[in-house]
Amino acid sequence: MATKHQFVDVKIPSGYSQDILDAIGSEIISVIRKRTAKNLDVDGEKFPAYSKEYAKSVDFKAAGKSKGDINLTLSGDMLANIEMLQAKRNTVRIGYEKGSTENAKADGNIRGTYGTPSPIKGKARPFLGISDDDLQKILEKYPVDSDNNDAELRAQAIKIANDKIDKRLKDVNLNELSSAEVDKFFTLSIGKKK
Amino acid sequence: MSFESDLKKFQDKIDKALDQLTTGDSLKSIGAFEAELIKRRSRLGFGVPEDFGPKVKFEPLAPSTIKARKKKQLAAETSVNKSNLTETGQLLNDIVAKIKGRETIIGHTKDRNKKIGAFHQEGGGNLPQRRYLGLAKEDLKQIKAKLQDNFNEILNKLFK
Repeated sequence: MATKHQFVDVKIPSGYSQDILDAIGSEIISVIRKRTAKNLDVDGEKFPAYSKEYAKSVDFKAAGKSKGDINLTLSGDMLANIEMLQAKRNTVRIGYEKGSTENAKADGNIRGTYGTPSPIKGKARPFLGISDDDLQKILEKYPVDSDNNDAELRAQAIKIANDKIDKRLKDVNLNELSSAEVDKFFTLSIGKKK
Repeated sequence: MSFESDLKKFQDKIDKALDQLTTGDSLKSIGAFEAELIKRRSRLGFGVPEDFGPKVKFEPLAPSTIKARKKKQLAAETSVNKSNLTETGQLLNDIVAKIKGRETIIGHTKDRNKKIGAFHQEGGGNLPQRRYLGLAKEDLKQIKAKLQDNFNEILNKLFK
């Protein structure tokens, strides 16, 4: 079976500005990553164990993984590539770029296929999505009918931070390497310089 | 109160949150994350191009190296045929992060590893170049995700 495009549409109340939708999307993605790092799926259930073959593999050891920590992280690229694909009116779409390598990895985990034509029983690890409770906790930070501007302000904070993070990561500074030895090879400065 | 005046008041809190992101424990955890990221990527057999482009597979091992490795006690993170800059594990184990001001500095601590690292990084003679020190496009994406997650956490603490 072909790889499926993996995304979830999260329904949220209408009436939010685009900036708030973007901020909510960013917070949903953070929740997914943090929950997955705790070995929990969308419903808060523990992920099924890794197979013995996988746990014995060189890549498993090379990545520093441990059998008891089912965090869906080998290279780390799959969880880092969760994106907000769309945000409009009352829906935020979270998922992967269609056809990407990371989408294929996510698909293997979510459906439990792992490169096989059909799902392997008991091996699905549905990590992409958010429970009603977790979503509610996020939405409480963005009150719609409020006398204050908390929702818009929090959204602005996230927007400003994301812009600064983007800007700083463009300024990564790789030091010149000495031909004799590598002393320090790069510095990364983030945030405002003093 | 107007949105503008609220925003101005809020700006101090945002600055505080950003400040926390790039200092103290948060910056330490980012430095440690970067060092681990480079170790893991290299051990999985991938290096970096010079222009922050996508990660690239390391050049395969020479047949003579493979033959020699068959007689050696190799670290658990590698195998006879795997090109991942790992034999005993000493080189990659020695990658550490230091914090200087608002910068993370990633490098080796031992002279032996600084020298061996430079040989691999630059290549030359019979040794193919295997650039492992630096950041690939995928590495930057992981660091960005880490920073965003940390920032959301800081915001949660600041705006309870």
